[in-house]
Amino acid sequence: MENNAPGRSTPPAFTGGSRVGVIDGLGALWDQLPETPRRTWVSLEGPPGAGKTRIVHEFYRRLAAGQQAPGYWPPSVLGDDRPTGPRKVAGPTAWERPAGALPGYLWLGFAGRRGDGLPEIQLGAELRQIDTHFPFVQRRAGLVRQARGAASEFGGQLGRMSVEELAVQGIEAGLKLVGAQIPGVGPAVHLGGLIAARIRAERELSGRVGAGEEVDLRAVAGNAVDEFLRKISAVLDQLPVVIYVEDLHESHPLLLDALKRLLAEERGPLLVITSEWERGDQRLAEPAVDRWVTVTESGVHSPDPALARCFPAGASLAPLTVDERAAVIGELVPHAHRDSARMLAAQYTNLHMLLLVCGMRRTREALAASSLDPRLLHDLPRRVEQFLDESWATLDHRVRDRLRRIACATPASIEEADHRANLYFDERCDLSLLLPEPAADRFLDQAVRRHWLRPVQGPVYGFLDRQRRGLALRDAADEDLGPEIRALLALRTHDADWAVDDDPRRGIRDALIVALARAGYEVHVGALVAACCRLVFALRGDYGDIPLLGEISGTAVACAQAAGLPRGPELTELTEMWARSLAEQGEHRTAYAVLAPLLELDATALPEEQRLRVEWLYARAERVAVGADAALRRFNTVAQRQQALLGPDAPALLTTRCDIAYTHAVKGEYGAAQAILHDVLATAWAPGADRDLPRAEHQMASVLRRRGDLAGAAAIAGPLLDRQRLLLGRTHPDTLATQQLVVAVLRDRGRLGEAMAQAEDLRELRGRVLGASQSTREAASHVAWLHRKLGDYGEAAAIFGTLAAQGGDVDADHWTTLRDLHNYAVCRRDAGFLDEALETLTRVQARSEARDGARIEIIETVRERGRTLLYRFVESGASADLERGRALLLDAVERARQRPDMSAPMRWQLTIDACCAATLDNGWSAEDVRELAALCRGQLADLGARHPEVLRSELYLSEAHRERGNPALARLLVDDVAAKVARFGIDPAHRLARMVDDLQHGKAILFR
Amino acid sequence: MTFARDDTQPGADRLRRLSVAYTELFYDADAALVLNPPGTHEEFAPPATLHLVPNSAWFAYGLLARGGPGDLAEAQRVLRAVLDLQLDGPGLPWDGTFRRFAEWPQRPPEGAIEWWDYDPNWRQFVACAFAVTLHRFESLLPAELASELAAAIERAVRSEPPGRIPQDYTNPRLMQVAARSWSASRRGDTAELASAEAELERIAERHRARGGRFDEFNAPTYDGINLFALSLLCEISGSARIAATAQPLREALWTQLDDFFHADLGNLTGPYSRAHFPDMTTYVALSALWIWARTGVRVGPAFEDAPHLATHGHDIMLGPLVADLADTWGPATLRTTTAPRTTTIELGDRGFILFRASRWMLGVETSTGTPSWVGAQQRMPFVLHGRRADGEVGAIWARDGRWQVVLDDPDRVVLRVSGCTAIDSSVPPQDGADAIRLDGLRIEVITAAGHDDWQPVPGGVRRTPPDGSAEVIVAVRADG
Repeated sequence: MENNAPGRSTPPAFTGGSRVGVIDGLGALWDQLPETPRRTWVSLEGPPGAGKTRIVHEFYRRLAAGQQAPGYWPPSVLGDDRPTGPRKVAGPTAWERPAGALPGYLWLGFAGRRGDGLPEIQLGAELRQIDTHFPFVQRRAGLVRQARGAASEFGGQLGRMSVEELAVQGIEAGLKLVGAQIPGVGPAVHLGGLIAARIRAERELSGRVGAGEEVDLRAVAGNAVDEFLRKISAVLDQLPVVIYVEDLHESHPLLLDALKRLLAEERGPLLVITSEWERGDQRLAEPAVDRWVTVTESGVHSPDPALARCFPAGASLAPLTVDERAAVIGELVPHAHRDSARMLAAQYTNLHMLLLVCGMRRTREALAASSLDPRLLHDLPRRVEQFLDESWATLDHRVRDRLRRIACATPASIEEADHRANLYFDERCDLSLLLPEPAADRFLDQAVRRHWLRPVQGPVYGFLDRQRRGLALRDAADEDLGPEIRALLALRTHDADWAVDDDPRRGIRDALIVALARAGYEVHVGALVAACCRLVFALRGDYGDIPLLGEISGTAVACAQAAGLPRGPELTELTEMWARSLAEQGEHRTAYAVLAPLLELDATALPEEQRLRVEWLYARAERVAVGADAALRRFNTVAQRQQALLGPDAPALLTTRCDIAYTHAVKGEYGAAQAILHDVLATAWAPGADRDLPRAEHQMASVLRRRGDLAGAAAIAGPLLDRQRLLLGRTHPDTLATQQLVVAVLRDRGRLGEAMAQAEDLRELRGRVLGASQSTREAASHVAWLHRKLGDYGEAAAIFGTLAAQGGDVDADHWTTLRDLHNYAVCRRDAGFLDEALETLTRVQARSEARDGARIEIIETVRERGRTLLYRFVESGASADLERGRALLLDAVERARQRPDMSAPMRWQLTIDACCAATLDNGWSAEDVRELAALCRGQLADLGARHPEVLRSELYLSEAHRERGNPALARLLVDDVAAKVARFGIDPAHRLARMVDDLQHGKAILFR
Repeated sequence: MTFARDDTQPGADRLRRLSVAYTELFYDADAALVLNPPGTHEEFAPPATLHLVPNSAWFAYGLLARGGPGDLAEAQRVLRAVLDLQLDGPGLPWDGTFRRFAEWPQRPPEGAIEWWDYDPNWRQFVACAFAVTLHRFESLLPAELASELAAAIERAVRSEPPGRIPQDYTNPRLMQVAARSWSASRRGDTAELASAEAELERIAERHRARGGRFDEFNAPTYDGINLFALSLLCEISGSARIAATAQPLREALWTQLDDFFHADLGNLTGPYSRAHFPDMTTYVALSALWIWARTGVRVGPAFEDAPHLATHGHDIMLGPLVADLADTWGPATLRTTTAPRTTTIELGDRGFILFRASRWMLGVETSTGTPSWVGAQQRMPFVLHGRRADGEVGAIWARDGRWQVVLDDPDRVVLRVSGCTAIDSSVPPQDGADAIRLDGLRIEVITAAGHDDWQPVPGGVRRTPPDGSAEVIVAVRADG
């Protein structure tokens, strides 16, 4: 029996002597299995509500309790904290395994009932559950092999350490291995990968089917069956296996076929348990093996007396006695009067119905009150019926479906149950409830007339009203399509996602509403906002089209505001999504403007948690729009409130702390950033927490890179990118951000070829996902920088020039435009066009200062002007250039000194340049050398020994020693840098390596 | 990296000449001080950015010993520059010691932190360098400089706060006695000399109580400093009683070096109470300088060929002093036996087991107590040496953990360790293989997570047991 009682999270105690006997029999069979490693089949046959499923769940619980700690399988099929509702599950789905747990047996459960979607794909997905466990089985096998090997090698010398102990020692850490390879995530990532693979497969197939493509789904599912059988055979070499198939009568024929093939083979140990409605001679579970047992209402039957003897006398699926049922009620409603419970027990022999009724509020109240007022007993049946009548529509559709099935078993009520079920279906799927009727008619008329919709087979797209079921979007690009349908087609790539994640009808219906609104149809504003919300959240998981996401949420917010809808939590959430979308596209200032009104809402308008989220989002935009200090203040306030509200290890708080760290990094305070991130990751990865915090990992890699620990950064960023590609997809913004980080790390390590390949890929992906957005332009500038580093100044200048021209079309004085122009000038200078570069840089500086003299970017322009003048001095010897260049560099140093938010490497670069410039006309004095040495030490403390900037200044130090008359020491220091370049994995193509090469060949390196 | 018998000329001469030449590379004539070479203080300073203090004093000695054109004048400049670095702060813990580096402030900050803002042992290091310089070359130096040096020594000796050096902190304790006795003899202060003699007696008594071993047992760098201090006590203390006490201590330490030195692998058998690195063939260890000077057998990096690769190269700068003291001590011959043997050593509450074979050796500290001696953070309770496929020496080592020998057969040793945070190896396992292979040896490190999680780190690979408290098995087996 099952617990369908709302309000309970655990089923009532298992009861019924005959059923306990069945479980004891299953246990005895199981215990025999290792000794007679063959395949055994037990068929439980009885009417719905007889308790078949509960018996198997109880048997599962008994096996799980007998596991060696830490147990791999959760104690219950249902899990400990599943929400109330349907309990018709055949095996545990995704759950958190304790660290180190490995399976001692395998439990594979198949729920025969079919839901929405393509049954073959569902079957394939169910069969693939074995993939979830397969690595753990292999891991266990490996550890046992290893333990045996070690024990045999060490012989008796290991004394107390037996094979088992060694194996357990390995098992304890087996899962940690996964965790170590994928820090902080472990099995969750593994499962996530499988789920993602499943979604992809399903999406692909659904897409092809939806597009009218001929796909032999049976062949696809058949392949899955073959794969499943192959894996079962492999597992059986290692572990005993239980396969439980619930409701065999509703199973896919291919699954039946697979079972027959399984049972036809001798090798075990395998226990197959099936349940089906008892239908006498019509049973599906035909014996395909001589070791079989049937358990029915009448008892246990088997051709093998030894098997039958496993079950104690009296074991059967006979109905519970009234007393046993009353005991169940007594447990569910502890205050029920004993007589009331017996009365109810007598009325409802079916356990499903009994549990449902006991879970009903009014029934519970009546039962509880009956202990005080015996008169209520007489009223109880009527109250139950009344409850069913009144609350039918609000019951979970799966509960209703279940009841309908129960009712089907009693012919008198079948018509009524079917009517109710269909009524529900109509209510939820009638488009006319969502669009004003004329609009719905207009749309549907157009749709059919223009062939936007086409008839299809199968349930997935039967989403309109009953008369028009069986229509789906047409799959053709047509010039004649209206804007609404073009919008719909743009959305259709997501159909498959909705088919997997949610009720597909609702997803498509939402798409229709939005499309109609965008096309100018008059749509209920409330329905539109709700649809936008759902769509946005569905889209959020994919990020296939971020501008569309922003457009939808923006549309909804605008519509809602125009209609004067109050800004409640739902609309706020939509605004959040809009702002997020804007931020992903680099439009932080617009996001800032969008979010600002939300902060003005009074305290009662939003739940505190949501308000904090909005403020967090606002702070992120503020970082760009206003400045790091303001953002840092806001982040810290948010963090304090989150800590008070949510606790010290709440994910939201950890995310905010990541942002605090990032903001410190923006200010150049990398030490502070690293300390915070270290703490955040330690919290996230603490034993028991085991949280995946990719943002923190990303930031940590970024900070390590900034501090010059390129190997450390690469060690984090590379695996993170792989993981995000697997779990989030290649186009997710977080994946792309990590890819950008990987580009930067590769570039800093001097692995320019790899960096260029990644950068080109990033530019293409960003262009595809974000269009001509700021982020796409940023990706292009990465490519240009790589060209510059590779010495291809012409190509670099061409890209920067194009970017600057594109930016100029929009806003010639925008910071991004000016930065591109700045970079263009630097590339032109490197190509030898000093005068042109100087002129451009001067122009950039003038325009920047006219726009906002406090911008930090101006300092870099001043520096590059100074450097360019010194380049010209080195060529021409004109002392005016030297003086002017030196003055500009000192000016830049002074400006940087007043800017604590400037990044450390930039600050050091400026100082080193100024230091070198000071020596250009009269060489290095002893004081200069001491100052340079002190600078080097400071850099090392700030940036770390591996930072290229530190190594670069060591090369300058070697130059200084050479000029001071110590060429041997100079040479030795160059050799030392060369050794470090090799040791730290810096590519020979890196400019440092080229500088080393130049110095080793007696060339000067100033102002590289 | 190489080690070989130095047949071309006596080891001491060659060490003296090469070490002065090496130091000269880093000599900053502007400051008259020696700069830090690559491979030294890398954690907080790039090379050639800091001026070293005791090393400069050693360089002055080297210049005087070399006696080339201009060397005397330059040596005087250096000695004066070092003298200028002595700290003055009566009553403060750093009084009388020397700036940690010349770049450090003339007066350490309020609440100065030992070992960072100042190094209290510089009293002993610099005073001993000055003492031996005066002892050998006073006649070459202007009288005023000589007396300044003597005054600096006395000040360093007297400013040493009583009880600052723990009883088990052997090397500064020995150097303090050396400087103190030399200073007392020079001044004819018999009471002070008697006091120094008594202190050395206490050290000798502790040495005897520990079975003829120092607390800084088996430390490739600090054994070398202890030999330096003991040689000073034997040669320049001015006290026959001190020399008589020091002599057997020095011989015992040399015998231990000789006993532990594996001639084929060029390393001392582990475990080490203190060690900067596991493999003497890859860095400059002071013990190796003594072996070179006395026996002609050279171990360690060929710093004359690639000075930038001489890890811990600043210790080379002690070379001239080691060479001269070794000359006075006299040559020695190493026992070259590589016969297999197992040695068990007890040192107070600490225990060690050393395994030696012809092609490999390993040592393990089996103590169960918490390491508490000075410098315990540099301990290496497990070290294994063998020959890699490329002919170089390979090492596997750990810096912590409680180790236990669970099996000791002629052809295999099995160790168990708990609380070990990392096991390092300079030899990666071959692709796809579980075990690390050295010549004639197969080493398996079995943690709960299996075999396959060696992580590359600079200079080798590292295994981090997933849980520091979990046990790890290290199985070493003769192979082929």
